[in-house]
Amino acid sequence: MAENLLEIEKLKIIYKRREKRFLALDCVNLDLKEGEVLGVVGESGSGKSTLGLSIMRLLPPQARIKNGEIFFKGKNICKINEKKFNREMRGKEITYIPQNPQSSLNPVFKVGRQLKDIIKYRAQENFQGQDINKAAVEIMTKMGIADAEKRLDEYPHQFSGGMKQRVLLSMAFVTNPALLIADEPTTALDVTVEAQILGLLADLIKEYQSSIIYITHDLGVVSEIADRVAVFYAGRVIELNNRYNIFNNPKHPYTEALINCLPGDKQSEKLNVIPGEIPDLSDLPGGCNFHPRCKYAKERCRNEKPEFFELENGGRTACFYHEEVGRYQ
Amino acid sequence: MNIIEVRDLKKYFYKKSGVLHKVFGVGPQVIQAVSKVSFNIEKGNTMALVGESGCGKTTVARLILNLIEKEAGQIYFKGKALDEMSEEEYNDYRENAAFIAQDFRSSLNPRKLVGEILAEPFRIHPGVIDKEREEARIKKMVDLVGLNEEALLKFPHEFSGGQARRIGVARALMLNPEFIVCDEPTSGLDLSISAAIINLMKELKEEFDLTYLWISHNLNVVRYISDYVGVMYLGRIIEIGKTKEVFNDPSHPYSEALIESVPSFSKEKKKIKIKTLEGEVPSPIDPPPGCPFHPRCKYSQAKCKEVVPILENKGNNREVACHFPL
Amino acid sequence: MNKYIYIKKKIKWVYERMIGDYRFYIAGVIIFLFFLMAIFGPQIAPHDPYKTDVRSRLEAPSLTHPAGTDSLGRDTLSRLIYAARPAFYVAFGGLFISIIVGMILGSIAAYSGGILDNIIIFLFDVIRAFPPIILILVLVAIVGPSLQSLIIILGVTIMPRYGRVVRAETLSVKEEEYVSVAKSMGASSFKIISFHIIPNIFASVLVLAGMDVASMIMWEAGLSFLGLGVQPPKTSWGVMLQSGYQYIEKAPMMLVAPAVAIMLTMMGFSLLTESLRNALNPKSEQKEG
Repeated sequence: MAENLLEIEKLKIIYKRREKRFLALDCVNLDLKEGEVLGVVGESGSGKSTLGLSIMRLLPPQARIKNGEIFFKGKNICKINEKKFNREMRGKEITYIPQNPQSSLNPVFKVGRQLKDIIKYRAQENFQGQDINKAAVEIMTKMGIADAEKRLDEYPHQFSGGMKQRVLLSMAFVTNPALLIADEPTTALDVTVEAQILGLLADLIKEYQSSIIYITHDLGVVSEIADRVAVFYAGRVIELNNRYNIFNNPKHPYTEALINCLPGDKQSEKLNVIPGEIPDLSDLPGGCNFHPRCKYAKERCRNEKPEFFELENGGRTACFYHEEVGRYQ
Repeated sequence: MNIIEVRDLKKYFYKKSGVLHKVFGVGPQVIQAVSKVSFNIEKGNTMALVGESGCGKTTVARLILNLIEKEAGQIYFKGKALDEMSEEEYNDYRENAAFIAQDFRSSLNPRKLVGEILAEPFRIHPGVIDKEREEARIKKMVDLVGLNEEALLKFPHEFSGGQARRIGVARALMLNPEFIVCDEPTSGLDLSISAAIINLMKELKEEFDLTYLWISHNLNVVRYISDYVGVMYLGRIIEIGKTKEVFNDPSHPYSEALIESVPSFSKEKKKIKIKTLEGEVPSPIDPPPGCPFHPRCKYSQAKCKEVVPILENKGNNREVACHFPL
Repeated sequence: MNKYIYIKKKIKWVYERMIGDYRFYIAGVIIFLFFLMAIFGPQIAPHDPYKTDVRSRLEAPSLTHPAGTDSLGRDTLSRLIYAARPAFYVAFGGLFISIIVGMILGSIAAYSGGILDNIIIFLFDVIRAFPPIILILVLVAIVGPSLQSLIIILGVTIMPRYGRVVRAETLSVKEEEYVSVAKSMGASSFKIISFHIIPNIFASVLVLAGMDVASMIMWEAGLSFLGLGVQPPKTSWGVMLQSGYQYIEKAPMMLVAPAVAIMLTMMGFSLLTESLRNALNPKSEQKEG
C-alpha cells in the first residue's frame, strides 16, 4: 500500500482584511498518492487558490493558519523552518505553476537566464556534469518549444501565452518534483493551446511520475485530466471522489447543481441555475455553507455544520442528506 | 430582414514606424486584423463569432459599432450603409444598436452611481423616452435583470462580477434597442453566475425581440445559445453556418480542430485523449501565404500554400473558405 | 431620481470615509483657522496691524499683545492674521490659474493628439526645463515684485504639472471601456469629456492641488522674505519673516509666529490631501468576481 505523498489534516486558514476575518479554508482534509492527479474544483471564493498557496507556504501576510497540518512525504511541512523549506522543497520537490503566464516571468531577464537559474540552484543533481545550457535546451524542447537554443536568448515578451506556460512547465519539471501544484494554468490560454498543454501534461505525468494538484473552475478540463476530484465550496471540501463517481453520481447538492449548470446541446432547455450568490467568506450563513441555495435543504442544515460521510464507492461528502441527491433529476 | 450586413470589411492597424522606417523607407508594420469579412445577421437571430486570440472577432464587433474606423468595405444597418446615413438615420442607429462590453468592471464608470450610469442613455438621446417615464423605465430594467432598486444608489465596485454584468445589460436595454453586440458576456464569471446570465440574455431576447451578435471564445456556450456561428482565423471568416450543423459536421479543418480541442465534459470511465492541433496562431503581421491555416492543417496540399481560399457558399446555408473542405 | 440625491449620496460616501481618518480632524482645525483668518481677518484681529506705537516696541507676549509687538510697536498677532490673506491669494489664486490653464491645455493635447499635442507638450517641457527658483526669480525681475505678479508667475510655473497630469489621465480614461460604451451610444466628445473624463481626473487634480497649496505658501514666504514678493508696508508671512529675522535676539516671537503659522498651514493642507487621496478612490473596496 503506497503511503500518501501528501496529507492535509483539518486545515483552517483565516485572512484578516480591514477588520474583517475571512474564513478561506475550514477543516480541509485531503490526501494524495504518488503519481496521482487531484482535480480541485471550485468557483471564486471557494478557497482553492488558498489551498495551493498554503502547500507552497506562500500565503500572504494577512493569512493565518489557525489549525491543521500538512504532511509531505511524512514530514509536517508547517513546522519546518522557512529556510530549510525554501532550500529543499519549494521550487524543488514541490513546484508551482501560477494562473497568469503573462506576469509570471520577469520581463527584464532573458528566459534562458531564468530557466538556467533554476537548473543551477535547484536541479543540480539531475544534471551532474552536464552543461547547464544543454540541460536547458533539452527541457525546453521536451516541453514542445521549437528552436529552443535560440529562444533561450529571448525575453518573455517575445513568447506567446502558450509558450510562456511551456517555459514555466520547464521550470517546474526540471527539478523532477514529487508534487506539482498548477493553479488554473490554462485559464488564460486559447482553447487549442489549452488542449496542447493538457496533452503535454498528460505525457509529463507518465514520464516523471509526479503528482499533480490541478486547480480549476473548468469541469471539462477536470474530467479530462484528473484521477480524483475534490469539490470546494466556501472554503470546505464538500465532496471528494474519483472522477467517474463525481460526474456520474454526485452525492452533494452543490456538485450536482454545478454539473447541471453546464450548457448542453439542447437549446430549448433553460440552463439550471443555482439561486443566490456565493457567500461572503467573512459572513458565512450558519450551519451548512450551501444551505441557502440548496434545494434539498432541511431544518438540520440551517443549524448544524455537516461532517464528512464516507461513501460506499470510496469517496466522501459533506451533506446530511447525501442519499437523496440525485432524486430530483 | 437583415439587421446587419457586412460586406468585405477590412481593418488594418499600422504600427508606428520608427526613425529607421522614416529614413530608409521601410514601411510601417501592418497588422491585418480583419480581412474581407462578409456576413449577415437576420432579425431575431443570435449570430456568434468565435475564434482564438488575434482572429479579429472583437475588431469586427467594434467596427460594426463604428467605434473604430474601417479601412474598406461596408456596414449596413437595416439596409442603410453607415457611411451614407443622414444624421437622423445615424441617431436611430445609435439608439438601436447597443453594446455590452467584455470587461464588466471597466465598462462602468467607477465614480458614478449605478442610477447615473443607467440614466446616461437618456442624456445622450433625450426624447426617446418621455422624461417623466425615465425613472420608471430605469427601475423596470433594474428589476428585469434581477437586481433591486437599492442598486441605483450604489457604486459599481459594491457589486459582484455577475451583478456588474447585469448592470451593463440593463444599460444596453434602456433605449429599447433592436440589436445588441455582446462581447464575451460570460467571460470572467463563475459557472453558476454565467448560467444565470445566459438565461437572462435568452429571456430578454424573447421578450424584446432582440437580435444578438455574440462574440465568444467559449464554444460550449456558443453552441447552446446561437443560431448561426462564424468561425474566424487570422482576420478571416473561414466557416459560417447554422450552429448545430457546424458543430456536428464542420467543413473547415480549423473548425474541426477547434471543436475537438474544447475540453468537453465527459462522464466516461477512462480519460479521453484530446486530439490536439499543432503549432500556434501565426502573427497577424506576417500571415502565411495562401490559406492562412495551411501550416497547421493536416489536410493541406500544394494549392493551399499558394492560393487564398474565398468564402464560398456550399449550399445548405453553409459557407466555407477552404480548397478541400471536409 | 433627482440629480441631487446622487450628489448627496456621493458626498456622504466621501464624508464617511474621511471620518475615520485622524488626519481629517487635525487638518480640518488648521484649515478652518486659516480660512477664518484669511476671510475674516479684519474682524477678528485684536488690533490694527498698521498702527505703530513706538513706545511699545519689541514687547514680549502679554495679555494685550499675545504674540508681542514688532520693531514699530505693531501687534504681531494682528499682523499675523492679516497676513493670512496674501498667503490665501497666492495659494488659491496661483492654483486657480495653474489648474484652469493646465486642464484646458492638457485635455486639448490628449484629445487632439498629433501636432497640437506635440506643441503643447513642448510648451510644458520648456517651462519645466528651468529649475523653478531660477524661472521665478527671472520672471520677478522682469515683471517687478508684488503680490499680483507672484500669483501669475507661480501660476504659470506650476501649470505644466497639471497639464501633464490632466493629459495623462485623460489619455488613460479615454481608453476605458465605459467611454467606448458611451461612444457606442452616440455620445459626443463634449458629453464624454464632461460626464466621464472630468470627474475621473478631478480626484487626481484635487490631490495635486492640495499638495501645491502647501508649496505655494512656502514660495510666497520665501520670495517675500527675499524681498521679491509682497512689498512692505503690505504684510505677509514672508515679509514678517524678513523683519523678524533681524530682531531674532530681541524679540524672537516676531520670527517664530509667522514661521509657526507657515508650518502649521502647510502641514494642515498636506494632511488633508493625504486623507482626501485615500477617501476619493472608490477602487479600494472592490469585491471579488
